[in-house]
Amino acid sequence: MSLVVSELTKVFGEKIAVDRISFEMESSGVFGLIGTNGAGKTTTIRMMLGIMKADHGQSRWNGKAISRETLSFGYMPEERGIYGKTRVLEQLVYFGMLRGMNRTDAIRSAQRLTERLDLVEYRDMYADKLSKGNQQKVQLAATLIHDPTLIVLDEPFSGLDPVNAESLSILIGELIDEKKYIVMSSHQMATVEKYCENLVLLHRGKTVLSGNLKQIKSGYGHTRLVVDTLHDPEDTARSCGLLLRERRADECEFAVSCREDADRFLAALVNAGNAPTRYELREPSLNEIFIEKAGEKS
Amino acid sequence: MKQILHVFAFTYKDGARKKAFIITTVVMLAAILILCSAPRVLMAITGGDVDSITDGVFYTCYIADETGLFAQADAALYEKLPDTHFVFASPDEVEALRATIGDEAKISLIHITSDPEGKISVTLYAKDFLNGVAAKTDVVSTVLSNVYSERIMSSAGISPDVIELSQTKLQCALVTEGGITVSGYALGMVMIMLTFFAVYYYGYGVAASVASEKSSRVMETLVVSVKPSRILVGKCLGMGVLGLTQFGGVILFALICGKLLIPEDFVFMGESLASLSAFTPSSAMLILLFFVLGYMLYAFMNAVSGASIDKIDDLNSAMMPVMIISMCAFYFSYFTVIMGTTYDYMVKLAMYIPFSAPFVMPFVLLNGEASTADILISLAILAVTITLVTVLSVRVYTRSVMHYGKRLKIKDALKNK
Repeated sequence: MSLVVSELTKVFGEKIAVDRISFEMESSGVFGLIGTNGAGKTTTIRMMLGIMKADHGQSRWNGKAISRETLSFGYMPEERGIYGKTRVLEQLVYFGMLRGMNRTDAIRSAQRLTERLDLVEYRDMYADKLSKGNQQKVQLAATLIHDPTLIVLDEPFSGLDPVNAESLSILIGELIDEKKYIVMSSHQMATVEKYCENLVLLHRGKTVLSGNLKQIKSGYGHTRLVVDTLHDPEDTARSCGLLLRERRADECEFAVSCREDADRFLAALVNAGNAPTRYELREPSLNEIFIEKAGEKS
Repeated sequence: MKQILHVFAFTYKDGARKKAFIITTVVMLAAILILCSAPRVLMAITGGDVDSITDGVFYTCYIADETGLFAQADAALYEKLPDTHFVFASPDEVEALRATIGDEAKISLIHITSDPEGKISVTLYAKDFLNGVAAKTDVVSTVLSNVYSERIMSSAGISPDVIELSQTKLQCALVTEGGITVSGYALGMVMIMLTFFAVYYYGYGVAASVASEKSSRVMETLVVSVKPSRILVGKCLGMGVLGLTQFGGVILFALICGKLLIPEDFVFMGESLASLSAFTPSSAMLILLFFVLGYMLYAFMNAVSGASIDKIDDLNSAMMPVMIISMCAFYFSYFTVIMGTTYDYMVKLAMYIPFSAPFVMPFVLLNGEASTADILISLAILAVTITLVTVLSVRVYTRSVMHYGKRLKIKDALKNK
């Protein structure tokens, strides 16, 4: 099974909202669609799923154009939409039946999902009586009710408290184990780094970076050095030709161009009697890469 | 088809649970119960003579006669207007009485004068034209004319027998050969009102339902499962059948109340109210058909109104164009039937215009005024219009439901893009 999105383009009036976005997903797992607000993530998803007509380009699943009829997909929109004045279980059953399930299967699936998402006690409650986090879980249950093959989650973690975020995190892990294909959009880079093996980074409707996350990061090399020392290490770093990138409460981060610079700095610290309690040579974070790439495009 | 049925069932159940629906149903049932009980209450009060409810003197009318020719006018007027006490007043009191009349609806004044040539003028002063003798100026005119002519003829030496004979009012008996009866007319008017109510109330329900799904973003969850056109059809059907259920229930309740509460011998304007002779099986079927088609025509347009907005607060302004069309069609139908069949071409026009046909046809059918050809032409035009409106509505709705932000222009919504 594979998802192929090629050259999707959408123009609203004079504004190009999405400009020839392409990506592929050849195996199960989580694919990240990342970018700031207004980058074109939601429009890309809508075009990809056939909800919105693309001005150019296409999206295919196993070679066939994606539509409601050709693929069992689940979509959790960014702006949550559930019936406030309808009971939780009743609306889940309704959404299930709309996706082709019979009533018995829809009830069974709704019961299973409400158990899985800790919503059992809210089954017979009107949705507008639930907290925002629980409403979001109902929305997720509506997305998964028909056991879709492709799951599209638009900003799934926004607005969730740490407890609910952890529940969702566990569920995503389970879906990965079930070999589901998940496309997740987010502007929270840490979230994407946690789940996504492959990604597309969007900025103002254009692709600024795409590919395998590990490869992207390794391409940048280990250019960040984090040290935690008893005394201020900045003078020693300056003498070794290193630039301070960021000073945090308990550590400092320096930019390094090669492994040898880092080793020389470590030796200098030890010689100065200021041996670090933490010494980490790491790749740049996705957030740093994004800021760099977005800055280049701007 | 299955998806349409699911949307239909959900819409129906959701609508039936709404407080507004429950309250409307209870209010309608209570109103029917009260109306059907009214004849028995009236009969109990009047001892069976409903007309006697208005017996008794309620008004006072002063007669200021400057000619001296109408000395017997008070008795003659009282004979025709027994709810009014007639009292002669001096011409000097006219101004004072006119000042009093301005504040008192139950007092009126007949001022009779003559010019130098002897021509008589009668002026009636009253607070308004709605109460007492002011509402019956034709009776006052006839009685005073008779008193005056009697006086003149008597002065001319004509015998009282001849005078009485000359004043005989010739009665005109009305025998209608057409289909209009009092019960048919009344039921027809009621059907016009009910159809308008259904178009407005359930049409508003469709628009509100679509608008709330769009504003709450449920639409985004729905459109990934169902084609917008199926949502539209299912929703319109759901609200339509809900309306029919409510109407069916109300009509059934009215029939039961009518049977149990309205006395069979209760007669109003010569017709037994317990009789529903205007309804025949074929007319009932056709009325139902026009009701359904009329509802569908307006429901599709209302659904588009609901889909065109982002916020539920904008619903009334979005519905305004459809409301104006339905109100114009309603008033056109209403006044056309009030004018009667004298204006046959107007009735025909109302029957053929698809927007007014659902309102006017029940009246025409209940009063046997429509030929088979008229009915078929009206149905055909209505069916073609509904088809066109449906096609356009589906296109506009599909474009509108996923459009947020600046209001979509109709020409853009119609584009197949």
